[in-house]
Amino acid sequence: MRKQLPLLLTGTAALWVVLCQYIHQFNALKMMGTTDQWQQIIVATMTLVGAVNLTRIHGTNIQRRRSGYYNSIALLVALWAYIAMGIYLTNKHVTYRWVYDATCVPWEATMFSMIAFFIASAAVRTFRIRTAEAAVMGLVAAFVMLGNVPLGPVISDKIPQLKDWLMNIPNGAGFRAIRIGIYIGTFAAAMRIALGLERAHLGSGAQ
Amino acid sequence: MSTTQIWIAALGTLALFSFLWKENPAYRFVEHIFIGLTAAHVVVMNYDSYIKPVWRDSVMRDGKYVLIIPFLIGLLIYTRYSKSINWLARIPMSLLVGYGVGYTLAFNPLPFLRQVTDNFVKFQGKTATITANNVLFFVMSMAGLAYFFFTVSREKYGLQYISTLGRYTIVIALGASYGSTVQGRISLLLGRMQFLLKDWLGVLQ
Amino acid sequence: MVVFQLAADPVLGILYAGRTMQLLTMIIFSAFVYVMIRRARAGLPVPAIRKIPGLEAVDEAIGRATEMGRPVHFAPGIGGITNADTFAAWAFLGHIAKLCARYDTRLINTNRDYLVHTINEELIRQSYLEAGRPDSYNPDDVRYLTGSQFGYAAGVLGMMQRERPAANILIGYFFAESMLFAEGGANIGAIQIAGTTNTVQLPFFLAACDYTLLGEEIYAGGAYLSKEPNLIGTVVGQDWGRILTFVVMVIGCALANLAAAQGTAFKNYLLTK
Repeated sequence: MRKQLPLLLTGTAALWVVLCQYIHQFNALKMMGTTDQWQQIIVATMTLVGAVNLTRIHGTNIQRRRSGYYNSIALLVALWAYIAMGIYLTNKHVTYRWVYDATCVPWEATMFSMIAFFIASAAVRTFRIRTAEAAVMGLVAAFVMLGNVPLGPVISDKIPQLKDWLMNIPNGAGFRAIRIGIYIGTFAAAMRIALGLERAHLGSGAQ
Repeated sequence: MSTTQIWIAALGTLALFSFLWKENPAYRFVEHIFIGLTAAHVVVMNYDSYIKPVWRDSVMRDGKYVLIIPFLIGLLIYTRYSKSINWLARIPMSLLVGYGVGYTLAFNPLPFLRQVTDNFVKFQGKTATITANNVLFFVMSMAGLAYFFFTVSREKYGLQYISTLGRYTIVIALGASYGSTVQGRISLLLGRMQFLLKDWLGVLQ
Repeated sequence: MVVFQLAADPVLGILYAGRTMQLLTMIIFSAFVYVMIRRARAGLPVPAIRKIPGLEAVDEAIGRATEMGRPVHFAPGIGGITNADTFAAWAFLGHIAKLCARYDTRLINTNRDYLVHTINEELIRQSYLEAGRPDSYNPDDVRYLTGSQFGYAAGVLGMMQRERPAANILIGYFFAESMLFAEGGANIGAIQIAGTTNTVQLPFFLAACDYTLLGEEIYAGGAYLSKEPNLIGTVVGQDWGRILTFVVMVIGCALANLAAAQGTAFKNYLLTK
């Protein structure tokens, strides 16, 4: 019962979506809209498990006075004070938005922008690896970069043309091959779970 | 943004950028605050967008009591903290995973068929170059797909040559993608620099 | 009484019009997988999967971390519980957790999605239990960080520098944080294995990681690592699907060039029938 019921529920839920998509009468009844809403409610109801995990880990850090435990205090204060503020005032309240705009928005943008530095260091590393594939990838990337900036046409008017060709032909063909392969792979991956061959989501490995 | 907000944003930005030098106490402090606030935001958004309106409006006001069922199913996740009935937590998880599996099976055929039919390439173009490019596109995409064969021996049917061409097609595609993304990332960095130099320090006008 | 608002006449009185070919596609691809599972179960020979260096390297990476006495880090990306890449990530995590439990190697798992975290926690705990090392399982090492993409990235980068995992395994659906994770791992000298189906992020993994699994390869990973005949059978089913796709594309292309009207009709038939 403890193992079979979840397996049965997984298969049934999968079958349900398939029926809703392909069976005419299910579609006419707009069954999918109902279960999509149910799914969102289920996911939202579970939202506290993340906060509980953070509280347990950082609570232990504080309790045992682990190195940097004061950061854990800051995290837990930020977490629970902001949750309390959001629940009490709603996320549209001016005070809630004030905190969000001063912290989350600019800090997200900062982390995102750090990728520029990392891209540069990764490019250097790629060029250092002396394999034919790395060389091809590096050269293609360099041509496309040059084709995107005003310097490209100054060096040669063929560079923008080459960039367009690289983007349209090999890039288009390569990505199509990868995407078709991915779709084929997803069918197999989904079937393995639907048939209970992979049960990792129930806490155990392949059977 | 008010002056106080700009200062908080700027100091946090500097602390996060300081990671590029090395991991340090300022980075660590902002990292922890950042995680705390954003994790809280997830809870608040779930509460404000789903829990509160559905419970208050749909269940209590409109009398749609059937919607209590998904709430109860969701609440089963909290049985994981009990030693005797923690297996009940698997119920909502298995339903959600099954739902995802169903989505994958039911909704992927259409985009898959679109990709396949887009490869019904008409070779004849207005010029010889266009025709050559059309042929090349078809050959490269087929070779790329052949590269992914997992259980067909590459020694047979000349597959090793085709899959090598496929591998190089993919490498070129990824190189082109790398090159085209760089510009966007640099403009993001310039945006942050502009914030620090213009909005915070007022150095730029 | 329910009043049906019928948009178009159903096919065979039951199937939604315009989706028959989609349904047929799903049935054929699923049937390939199912048939191969049956063959494997019946003990019939199942072809071996070709060597995939990125998958071969998983055991080596864990071995190296064990020798160095440093942890293994696994991130399943930012896809949710319903994402197919997350399904693939679980297959990897199951194998990695078993090996880490067997070698008594510390495994750190960081998560952005609280539901994926919940499943990972159970999966890792169970692996340590099955390996007979329940005491080695440390719940503090299976971490939910935050639902924010870059808050998560900030946490993972900090963790990498502080706890210095010797192996960094990134399998799942990754967005822009892929570059941060891969370079963060490269900077601490970790052996890195990464894979995603997000084609935009693949080049960054290829540039910064020791081994990259390209797209579909991550779906074959679980079968490859487990060496279970049933699971390998599903990969054979995948290849059958690929052969069929090849045939359809060749026919479609031939029609498009030799009989354009029929080519267009064939395309429309597949998409709208």
